[in-house]
Amino acid sequence: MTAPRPLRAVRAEWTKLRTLPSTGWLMLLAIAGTVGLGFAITGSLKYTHCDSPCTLDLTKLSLAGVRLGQVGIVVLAVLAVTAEYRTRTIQPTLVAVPRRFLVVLGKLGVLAVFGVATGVLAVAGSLTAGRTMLPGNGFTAAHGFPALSLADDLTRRAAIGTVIYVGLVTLLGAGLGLVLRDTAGALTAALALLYGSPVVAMFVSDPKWQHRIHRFSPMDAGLTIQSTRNLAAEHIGPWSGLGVLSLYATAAVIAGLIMFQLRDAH
Amino acid sequence: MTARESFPRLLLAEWTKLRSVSRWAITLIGAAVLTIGLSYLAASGNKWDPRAQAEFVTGPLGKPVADNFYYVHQQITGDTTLTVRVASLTPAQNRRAVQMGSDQMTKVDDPSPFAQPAAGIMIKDGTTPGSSYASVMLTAAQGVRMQWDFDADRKGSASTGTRWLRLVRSGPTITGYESADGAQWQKIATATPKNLPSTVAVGFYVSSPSAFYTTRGGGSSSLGEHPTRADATFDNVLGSGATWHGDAVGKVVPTGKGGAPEGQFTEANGTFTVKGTGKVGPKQPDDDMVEAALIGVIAGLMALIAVGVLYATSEYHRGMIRTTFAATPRRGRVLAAKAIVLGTTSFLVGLVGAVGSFVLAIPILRKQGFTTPAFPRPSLMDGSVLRALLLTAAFMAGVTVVGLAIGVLLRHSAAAITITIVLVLGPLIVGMILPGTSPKWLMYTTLAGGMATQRAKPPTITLAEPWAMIGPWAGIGVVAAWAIVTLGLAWWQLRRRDA
Repeated sequence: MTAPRPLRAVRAEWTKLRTLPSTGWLMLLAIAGTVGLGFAITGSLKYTHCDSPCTLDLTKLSLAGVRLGQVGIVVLAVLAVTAEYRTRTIQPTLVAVPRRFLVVLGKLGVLAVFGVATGVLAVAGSLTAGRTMLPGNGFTAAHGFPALSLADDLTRRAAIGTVIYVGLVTLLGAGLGLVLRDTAGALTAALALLYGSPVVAMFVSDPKWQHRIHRFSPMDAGLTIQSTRNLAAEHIGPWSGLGVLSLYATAAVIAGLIMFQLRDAH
Repeated sequence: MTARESFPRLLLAEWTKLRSVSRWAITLIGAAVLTIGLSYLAASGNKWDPRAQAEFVTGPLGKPVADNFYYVHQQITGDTTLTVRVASLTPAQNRRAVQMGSDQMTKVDDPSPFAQPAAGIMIKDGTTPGSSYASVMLTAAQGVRMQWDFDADRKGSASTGTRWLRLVRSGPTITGYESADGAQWQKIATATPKNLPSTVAVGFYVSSPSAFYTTRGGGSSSLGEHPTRADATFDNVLGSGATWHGDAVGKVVPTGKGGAPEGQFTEANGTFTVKGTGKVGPKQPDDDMVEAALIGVIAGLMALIAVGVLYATSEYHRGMIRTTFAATPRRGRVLAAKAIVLGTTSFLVGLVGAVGSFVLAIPILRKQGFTTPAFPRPSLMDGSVLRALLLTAAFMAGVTVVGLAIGVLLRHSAAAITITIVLVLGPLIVGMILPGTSPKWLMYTTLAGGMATQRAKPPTITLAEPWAMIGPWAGIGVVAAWAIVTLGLAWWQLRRRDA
């Protein structure tokens, strides 16, 4: 073996994840879910049905599918960690690479790469779908809606931000998996964390509390970066929103790392 | 052992399995604690705008009502009879309201007989808003009606044109009649209003409820109110002969520029022309205090789904299912026992969570502006509250059983949990973004519709939450259909597949 040890650990994780049949399916689900919902939304918008002045945020609407598509990548991340416990693969893994830190970092690094790759494909697909559908529905440059383009600073920020978002929820899922070591628990916790708070915000009628919930819930805050219009109406700034999400992800990953170091693997 | 003996044993065996896995027992208790805890904490995040209270008055039965109309009346002591011919009733066209009904705004249709422009006669306990009354009226589209105390409504003939109306007071009762010609009278109903002093206001009136338009989608909703006006002429007024006084009863909606005036009347040769606006009838805010008290259900539900799925899939992980089927070869019975045990347990957990949430959150909500007159204190014994709490528990039980069935079908915890949670939460998130009434169909087809069970009030399209669009029985029906279909598929797969 010529490769240095850390690289070997990463390569082992890469092989494990790559060769699971579910990985490909879940990535496909994430991408298809994102692009599909984006397609359905942009396809159903009509310029003639829009208030005048029409202030629709087309970039945000085109990328909204990630709210659904992220489920695929979260499941992938949780399974990548917890399946090793269920199938007891974790023991040979730790025998092969006794330095636990390397194992986790390798796993998280590989997962992040899968997450970002999924994000890039999903965002590219969604923007292409928006670019194809919207002009046909009356959203033309003549009406003040130039075609979605990465040359536009805000659209580029939204696209890059959404890719980072997907990467971060992947790490969040993996971190929760490390803490709970149980597929059911980790998955329920991750989905409840992401989807629970917007639903609670619907129940709450006090605008002050709605504002707080939107500010500090990982999905709403993280996806603020998709806004390209009327940014003042958002509950949190675009990058600070991603910051909130990365705090959640970091907290989950650090807690996972500590528990992985301290606990027996069985 | 006969079959009849063995099924209770099977139930006992399944109950022991559920109870003795400490992780599940903790999660089940945790589900109730999560429900109550989140409801309690989130209650202080709810606030009801005290300024909106001005639109409501308390009726004689203690419920919030609207009592706005133009009343031409005189005071009469003792038994009396008033006869009037309504010569015409013309709802005024509101151009602005027509414009508002374009693409983005949805007109809120109110089929209630109280929501009609009306011209009629009324006997009322003074002109204070919210006081007892009985009236017979000609409505714009629902014929002749007799109504009293903002609650009772009796149908008369379906007549639309000119109509003779009569009210006869005799002690505590008021009887309403109608006639086509003033000679042949038909009785409509006899009313006993709650408070009827010896001296009452007697007269004729015109009301015309506001038109409401709503926009929703993108996570919020708004409601626009546009006052309307109706004009009516009355003749052949046969009363005591005293002077008539005209009053706009109640707080009339601010009309803005060019809006409807508060009302007026003119008399010429015994013919009275009356213009009026407003509504006489029940008026409830669409916000629902019971629903607001049950926020935590969504959190408790997540925990229950996890237990439901694991209750099925863990038998497969550990190979336990082979032992189970060796003991009870009839697999359908095992599935039935599991569903009954899990359904009952999660129903009880849900009920504890819902009742606990209600008891703890209502006092906080009352401090947050959910008070009279718009919100009378809800009691656990109210039919609608009891229905909301029981159906909420049934909703939680139904979704948990769907989780079990999907778990049996897929034999994979991650996939089953994800699918069940997404079936509940996904349509809620998507439905919140979709505009207008389009999310209704998502609610009728997915588990998210079950959220409608949490409402104690009738469905409405004016709120941001998509589940408010369908009724509670429709909501629980959707969940029950999912439970039956998924259990059926699971049973079919169990028989077909190797364990």
